[in-house]
Amino acid sequence: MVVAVGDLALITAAQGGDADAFAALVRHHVPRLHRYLVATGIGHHDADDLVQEAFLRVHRHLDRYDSRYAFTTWLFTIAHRLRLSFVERRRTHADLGSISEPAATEDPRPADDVPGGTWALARRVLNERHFQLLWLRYGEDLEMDEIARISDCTTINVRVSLHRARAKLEQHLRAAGLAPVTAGGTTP
Amino acid sequence: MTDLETRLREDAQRAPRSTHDDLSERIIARLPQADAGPLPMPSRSHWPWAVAAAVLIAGFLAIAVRAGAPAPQPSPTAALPAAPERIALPAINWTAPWQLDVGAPLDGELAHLGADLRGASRFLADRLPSLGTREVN
Repeated sequence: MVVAVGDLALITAAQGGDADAFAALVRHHVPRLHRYLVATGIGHHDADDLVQEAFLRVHRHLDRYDSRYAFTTWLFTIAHRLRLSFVERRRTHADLGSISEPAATEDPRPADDVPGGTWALARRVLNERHFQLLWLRYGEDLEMDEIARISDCTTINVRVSLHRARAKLEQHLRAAGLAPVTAGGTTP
Repeated sequence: MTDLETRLREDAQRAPRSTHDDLSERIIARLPQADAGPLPMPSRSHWPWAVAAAVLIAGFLAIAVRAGAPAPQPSPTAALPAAPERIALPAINWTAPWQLDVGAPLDGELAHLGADLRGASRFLADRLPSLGTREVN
């Protein structure tokens, strides 16, 4: 596990009460976290709220940061849990019919930072969990053990799920005639 | 790495990225001012609540401990079965002269027997009201 030296220095300074160091962490990681949430199906406004809540929690529990792990892992773990709670809440409200599920048209901002192409197909054909794992691996370029920690499962589980997600995506790419995909490569 | 993996990475990189400066500044503005000092601590206004909560928890714990505590160990004698109640037997004079006297007339024996029966009946009359149903039956 590689811990980004810049993050480590910033978080150590922030733990010592350096507000500028924490602000630097926020500026550096907000775009990435926001992109992850939007890519995994959260609307822009809700993603704003979740990113904000994630950083407020990070700030509140700075003393709990374990420097053995990357700051990104910790931040994404918090965001992942907030996302799960949010999705669950939204689902419950939708089931009860008390409020309508927020539609994409409610958000005027275009989804510029959400990639299309293969990702657009992946979003259509994969289930939520598989897409999320795929995004963390290839969209965020995180290691298997980091993803396992974020999504609270084992590394083996992540590997197997990613394998299934890729297989399904390859199958749909072939069926759609989008591009020939060479199968059989090994995952690094 | 397969073509698909490369393609996913490239597609993710290709998408333009927003900087979200306004969101970052909003988050920074919302951070508690305590970050200028040492690590966040509960504010002083929280202490009375914390003390009240601690007292409540201690109370609950004390009750729980008392409720869950093992019963006091009985003394060794307490484990023994209760000693049967001593019943005062009617005083019968077994060594009465008439018992020893082989040739004594039967009247004497009957007379003494009558006295013994009277003693026994008095004993039963005294005891019966105090006997439980089980003993009577």
